[in-house]
Amino acid sequence: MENMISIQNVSFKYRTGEGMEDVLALDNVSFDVKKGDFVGIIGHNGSGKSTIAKLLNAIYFPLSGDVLISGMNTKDEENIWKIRQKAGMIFQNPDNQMVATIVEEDVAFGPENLGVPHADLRGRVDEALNMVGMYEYKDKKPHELSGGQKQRIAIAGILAMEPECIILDEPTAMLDPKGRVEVLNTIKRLNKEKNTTVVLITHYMDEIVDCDNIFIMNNGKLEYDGKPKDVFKQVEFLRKLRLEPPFATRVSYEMNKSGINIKDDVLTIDELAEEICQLKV
Amino acid sequence: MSVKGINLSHTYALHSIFAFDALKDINFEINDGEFIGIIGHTGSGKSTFIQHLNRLLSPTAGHVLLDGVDINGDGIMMKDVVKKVGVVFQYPEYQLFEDTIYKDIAFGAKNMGYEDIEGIVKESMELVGLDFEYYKDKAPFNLSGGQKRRVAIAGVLAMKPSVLILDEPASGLDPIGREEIFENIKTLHKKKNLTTILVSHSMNDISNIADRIMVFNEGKLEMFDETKNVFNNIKMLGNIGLDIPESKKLLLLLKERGFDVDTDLYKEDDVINEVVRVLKKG
Repeated sequence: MENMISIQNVSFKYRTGEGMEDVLALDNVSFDVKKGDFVGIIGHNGSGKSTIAKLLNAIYFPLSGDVLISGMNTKDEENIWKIRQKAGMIFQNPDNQMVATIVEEDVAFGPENLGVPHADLRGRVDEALNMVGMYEYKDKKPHELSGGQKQRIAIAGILAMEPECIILDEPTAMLDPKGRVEVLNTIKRLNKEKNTTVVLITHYMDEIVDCDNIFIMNNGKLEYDGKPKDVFKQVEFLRKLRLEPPFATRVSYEMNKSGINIKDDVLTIDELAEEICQLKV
Repeated sequence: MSVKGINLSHTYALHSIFAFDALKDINFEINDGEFIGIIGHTGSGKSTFIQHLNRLLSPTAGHVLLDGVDINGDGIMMKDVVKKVGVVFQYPEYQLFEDTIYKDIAFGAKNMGYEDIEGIVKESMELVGLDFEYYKDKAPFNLSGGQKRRVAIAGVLAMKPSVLILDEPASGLDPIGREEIFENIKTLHKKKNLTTILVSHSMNDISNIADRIMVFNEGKLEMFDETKNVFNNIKMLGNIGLDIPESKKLLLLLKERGFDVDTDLYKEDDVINEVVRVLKKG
């Protein structure tokens, strides 16, 4: 399978100012994301997750190493706009991402800037709004929307650029429970129906229990990567990295500690309830 | 310190065509030393509500009483209210501004006219788990997200409030950072007998810490009851875009499957113990 994203030996430093030492944010990081995959990136605050996101979108450029999006190097200036069209970005705060005063104009902003002909614009905007389930809101003003709705409009704005990949940096951190579910369902649907590659950066482990691959960042290094079932059962390892497995995995871990033998790689409460039933028989 | 609301209402842009009823006739009583959780979807009135408790907003009708005294009454100064009710807003680290941690934490306390500022700063830092000697002269901007947030909370504690209000204190923090902040808040509440009010979108976090929960919906106080009772109203919570903690969902799933579990439980530790108990018995 072709790589959507390829990060090769990437290091990155933040300049902190005169006379102070630069902070090494990424230290020789390499990994690939295949086309159509849904991957999660987790790690403690300051571990380098958001730096990676900004490198993928050609907002930052590696100090050494290369970042390739669909084979295009972010270092080649002529690629930048193509890369930003192929790999769209969603940030934490929906209020910082609205640029227009009407929902449909906001969604049209990206494709318009890409030079999409006017005749095609209407169709693209409508399709994008339908995809996130917000078509009926096309004439609304941003302030009339909830946080989850605004975040879905931001996603529609990216979709209207017809990207192959979406990178989301903690998109649900500021949302209420309903808003979180709305946004997550939208992302999952995009991945399944349009085969859009998804990179989801998050502190909520339950959001990535069914993703294809998880990358764990620790102090600027890629510490581990693997399938959710392999990652989350390593409870003590995760805690050392300032992470916590999902609730169901924590429960099975504690049950094992109390002398009840139960599978240690359950990820959801439904799975856990099933396993507990098996014990009884 | 007790906090009471009588027929509290707030209309934004009152007497204009944009008038919007953000709070509608709210009555409540929070007892001294209680730990209260506040939940509600975006736009339900939570933020408008907490801004009334330290007089950042005044009711357009009704009253807010602190230990029986109307905080909007004649002769009550804003300063008196701010001294008693400390609010830690969302992402408080964006409000750090001094060049050292010491100065940042001392700022509010100085404005309150307190003496022995150093002693106060020291105590506030201890309460949030920051080593005084190690951190006092450092710049707040080079800290991690969790540490910055602790500095911001210490700055509020240094004003020696009797009521502490926290709006999403853990959002954006890594999982262990979340736990640490909540441990700090729990300890604070116990040590200082602070009346504590926590606003959060996380039912899991709220369930592990709150004695009682206020549920806001469309500007109304939909329910105000013990945590156990609130989480037993699954249908009502679902209707207004909220949820119950995963821990309780697990117990309900097990009950459905014929296990004799106590579905009134909701704290993570209690739920784990209950599951272990039932399995060992059977």
